Amino acid sequence: MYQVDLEVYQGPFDLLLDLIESEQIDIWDIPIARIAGQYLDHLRQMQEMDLAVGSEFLVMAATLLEIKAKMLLPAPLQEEDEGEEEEDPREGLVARLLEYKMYKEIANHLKHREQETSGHYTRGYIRECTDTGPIFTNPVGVDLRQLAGALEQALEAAEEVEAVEQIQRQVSIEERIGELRLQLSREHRVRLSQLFEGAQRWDIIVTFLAVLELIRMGEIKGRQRQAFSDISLEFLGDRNSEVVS
Amino acid sequence: MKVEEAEKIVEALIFASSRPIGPKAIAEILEVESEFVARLVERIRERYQERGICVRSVAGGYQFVTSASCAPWVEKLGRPMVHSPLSLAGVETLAIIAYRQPITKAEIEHIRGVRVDSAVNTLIERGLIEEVGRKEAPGRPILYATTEQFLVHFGLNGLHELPPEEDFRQDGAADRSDGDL
Repeated sequence: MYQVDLEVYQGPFDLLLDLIESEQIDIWDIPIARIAGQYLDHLRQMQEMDLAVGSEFLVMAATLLEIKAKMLLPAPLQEEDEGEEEEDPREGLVARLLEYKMYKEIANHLKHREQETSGHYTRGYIRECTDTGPIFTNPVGVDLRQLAGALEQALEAAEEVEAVEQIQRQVSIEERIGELRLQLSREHRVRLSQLFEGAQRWDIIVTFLAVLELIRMGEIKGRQRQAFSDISLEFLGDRNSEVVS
Repeated sequence: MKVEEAEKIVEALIFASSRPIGPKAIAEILEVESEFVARLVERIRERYQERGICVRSVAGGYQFVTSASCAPWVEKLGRPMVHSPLSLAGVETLAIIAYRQPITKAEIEHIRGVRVDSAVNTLIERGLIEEVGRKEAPGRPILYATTEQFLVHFGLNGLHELPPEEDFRQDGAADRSDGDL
């Protein structure tokens, strides 16, 4: 079973913010090494779940590692009275995170408003029941893990069905030739239609090819009285056993 | 024209209009002042309290809508055509467009950190945003802005009713910018 707790993130910023919030980290002082590690772990989990990891997630991973590398390098010596403080390599990232966070808050606000205004319908807003096509509604209270579990179950069930089918293995032409030899040597004369009785499409094809092969080898003779009438097959002898004997 | 008569006409105009009808449009038809129309609408609104339908102010106009308390029963009539809630990606994209319009796809993508093609397409299909021109920049990218339908969808009278951006900043950026890093 999967041991992961995956949310669907709106993008790399969303994922990063969630990591920062769940770790209760000060956004102005992100421990880059730790967060980068957790971020990469998360991408790995996504890949294990076979979720498509978009290129934007990978770009962010590269950005995090770049910042981590920059912070490990010793800062170049600066003359103190130059005044300008050395730029924090995290600054650009933090600014973008904060900007994204703000719009996320605004989105929440809009979502809330949307909920408030729903329930007021204008004329013609409701479609008559008669022309409702297939409706997809988002399942309520279902998380990714439950979905993954359901999929796993469905796949298991599907595999079982496949296994049952495999038991009914199809006969090869060689095997059918052997069977026909046996049958013809006992009954001597068989009608072709008899061989097809109750057979599946695939069996009919194999049988037909086996008959053609036996005729070619001169072991049986086919005879038809008129067009479209039944063909009778006459056993002439097993060439194989003649060779052996 | 007697007030009662005018009130009846305003009621009919709001009812018959397919879009929210503004006080100016009503005033022009009635040949009266907009302020008078606003007063008439207030009278209508009062009469419709505790009823199955009510007057809603939205997108700078008025509209008859069913009362919220009736929604569960109205929804049994059939399914709402467009009022299904937006996806999170959709609302995020819309939030950025609403506050930064007109804006190009690339600018939205810079903020969200992901591609927004499908979100933008969905919003256009639902009539919440539209193309409003092209930016004078390399490639002349398309500029997007919100529509009247956006206001209706969120029950806003106008863009001015959106709360200011500052309300959503909780980063203490103002304190930090003083240089006490």
